[in-house]
Amino acid sequence: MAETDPAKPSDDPARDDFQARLAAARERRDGGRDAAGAAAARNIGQLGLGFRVAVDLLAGVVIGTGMGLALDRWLGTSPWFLLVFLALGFAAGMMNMLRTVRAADAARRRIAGERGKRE
Amino acid sequence: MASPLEQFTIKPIVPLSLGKLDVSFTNSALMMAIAVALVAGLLVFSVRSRDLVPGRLQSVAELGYEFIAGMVRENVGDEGRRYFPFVFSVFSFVLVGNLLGMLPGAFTFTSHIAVTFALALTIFIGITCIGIARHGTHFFSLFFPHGAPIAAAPILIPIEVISYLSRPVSLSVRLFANMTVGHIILKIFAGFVITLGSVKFFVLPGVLPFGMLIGLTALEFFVAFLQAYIFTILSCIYLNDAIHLH
Repeated sequence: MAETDPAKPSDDPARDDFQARLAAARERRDGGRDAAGAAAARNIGQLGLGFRVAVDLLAGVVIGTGMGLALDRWLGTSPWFLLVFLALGFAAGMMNMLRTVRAADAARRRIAGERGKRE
Repeated sequence: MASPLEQFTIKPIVPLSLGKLDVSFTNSALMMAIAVALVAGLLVFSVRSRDLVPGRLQSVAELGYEFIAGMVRENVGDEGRRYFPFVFSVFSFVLVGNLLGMLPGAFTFTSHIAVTFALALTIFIGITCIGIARHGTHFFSLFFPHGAPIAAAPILIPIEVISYLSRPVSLSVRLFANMTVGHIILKIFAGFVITLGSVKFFVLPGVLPFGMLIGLTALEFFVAFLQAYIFTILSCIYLNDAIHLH
């Protein structure tokens, strides 16, 4: 059985009309759903990213504080190592944050680029 | 109303002790055992028939396999293929743990920092060992950004070391905090439904929190998937760092 391509215009005008209406209906359905879904996904994604960034900063400070306290207890130099490592931990947390945001940015740009290519 | 934190209590089922150490088989351990049994059972039984056109269960197994295989290929590259079983185990264990927690009355083992930190520390130590085994002492160049002036080393190296050591902390805190917070919110809203629904005006005041609860439950399912995904993809990224060094 020879299958005709449904998207190809045929000799039958009624069929062409149906194809046009079908395409318009699909466009209406997918266009609306895509926009709403994408907006929701973007909001949740931003929320998640914000939380990830906060945890990144926290982790750096926690590890810095822990290392400072441990060194102070070992060498009996309280509070000097704690002060130094608190600052270093904060810097490390900032670095973690920057890396996360940069990676998220690169991913966003890649997705946007792919979408642009497809359209 | 019971405390919203009550759901996180560890209860020993079979009390055991190893010397002075308490190694009881708890409700947490039971849920972990169920998770492992579920994953293993699904993978073994669903592909038993080896159909060319997969049935329902077989498609679930194949989808999971292809999802993780794609993630490993994209984030680690071809060298990452040998670590696929490891990544797949991590993903399925965390995902099934999160989802099992959504069953009413079930215990969520991923809501305990002890569990997620042990998991993250295992991954962290494993990945560090892989990096040292592949690159030897060259692995430690990871702690010095390429092209930075040597004079900056006394500051940069401690920062990079702390940043590296903070990975298991952020990895585990993220999963644990998301699961704990989500389940506390669910419990609080469920409590609202009961307390507001039992005051005057029939049950009308309880309808609003009930509607919220439905939405929150759906959100929690989404979070269960998302957090398993984030946990796994970050493991992949750390693995990529250890294999490729910058």
